[in-house]
Amino acid sequence: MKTERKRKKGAVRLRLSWVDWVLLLLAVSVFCLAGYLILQRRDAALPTETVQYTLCVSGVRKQFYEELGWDGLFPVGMAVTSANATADLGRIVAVEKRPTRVCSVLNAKLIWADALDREDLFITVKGRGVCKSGDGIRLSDIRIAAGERGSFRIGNYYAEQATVISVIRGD
Amino acid sequence: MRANRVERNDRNGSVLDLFFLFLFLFVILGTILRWQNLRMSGGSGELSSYRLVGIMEGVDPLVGDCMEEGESVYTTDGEKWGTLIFAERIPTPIVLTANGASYQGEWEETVRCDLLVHLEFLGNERDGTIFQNGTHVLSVGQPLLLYSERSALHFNVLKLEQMPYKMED
Repeated sequence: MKTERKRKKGAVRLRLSWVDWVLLLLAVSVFCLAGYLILQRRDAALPTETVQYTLCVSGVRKQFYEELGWDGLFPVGMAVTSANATADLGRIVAVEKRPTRVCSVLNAKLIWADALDREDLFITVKGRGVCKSGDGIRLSDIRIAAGERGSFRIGNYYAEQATVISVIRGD
Repeated sequence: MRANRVERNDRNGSVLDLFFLFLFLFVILGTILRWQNLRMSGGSGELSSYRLVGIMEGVDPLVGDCMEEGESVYTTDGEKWGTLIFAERIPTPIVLTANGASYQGEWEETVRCDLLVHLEFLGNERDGTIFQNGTHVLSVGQPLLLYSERSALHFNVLKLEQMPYKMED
């Protein structure tokens, strides 16, 4: 009898009121909602897919490729990276060139002609990236969108002002 | 008897518990109201459809092929801004000066063109000023950067107008 009474005296029972239960329930639901929102925003779970895009580099001087040649300057299969070479933005698939067009005045008229010492380059690049609604197409967390301009390292060439002119999702 | 009464009082909770409960509910209610306030521009008027015409100057003609009619456009933060109605190509003007005289022409269409982008968005008008989503002010001449899935729309606002009311079928 004595030991039973002792146990009753020493035991600490946690009593929760209905207000405590409501508060606990609200706190749990807020945590669940926050967790759901965080998981929804996570990109890591997104599958990668093939992205093909074309970079246009205008007015590349012929002196740049005189030594290495076109194939040496832009070897097919070589990496394209960001300006500081930290982000992998795919591999060169094809290179096309077109003479840079220049305008001059002749007999009070505008005349278009090919520039002799410069070329416009169209470099097709293929890489793997993630595509998410609202967040666009990203390769190594860099957004690839037609009309976007920036600096790239394309093969052995540093393009200071290259423009993305076309983006295709998938193969 | 006395012990039972004490136990019942414990189960009913204290005034402090009630204070915390109401504080918690007020915080949640306040957050919802603030969110609504931002969305609906302080509740001053309903949102209706507006049309924006913007100009992208001197772009490669291929850029226009990456825009699809009816696709959503987003801000840099990934929030939906509106819908692209369509994009049309127009020639890019060029002016050259020779011997003190200016000559005007157009860029070759295969090399460079201007793009007129027609967008639809929800907004409202207060004191003659148009607000996108009731919160972001828009003016003619203002530069904007929006993104569709495959293209970046760097443009200057040319025209802002209210869309005509659409009758439902």
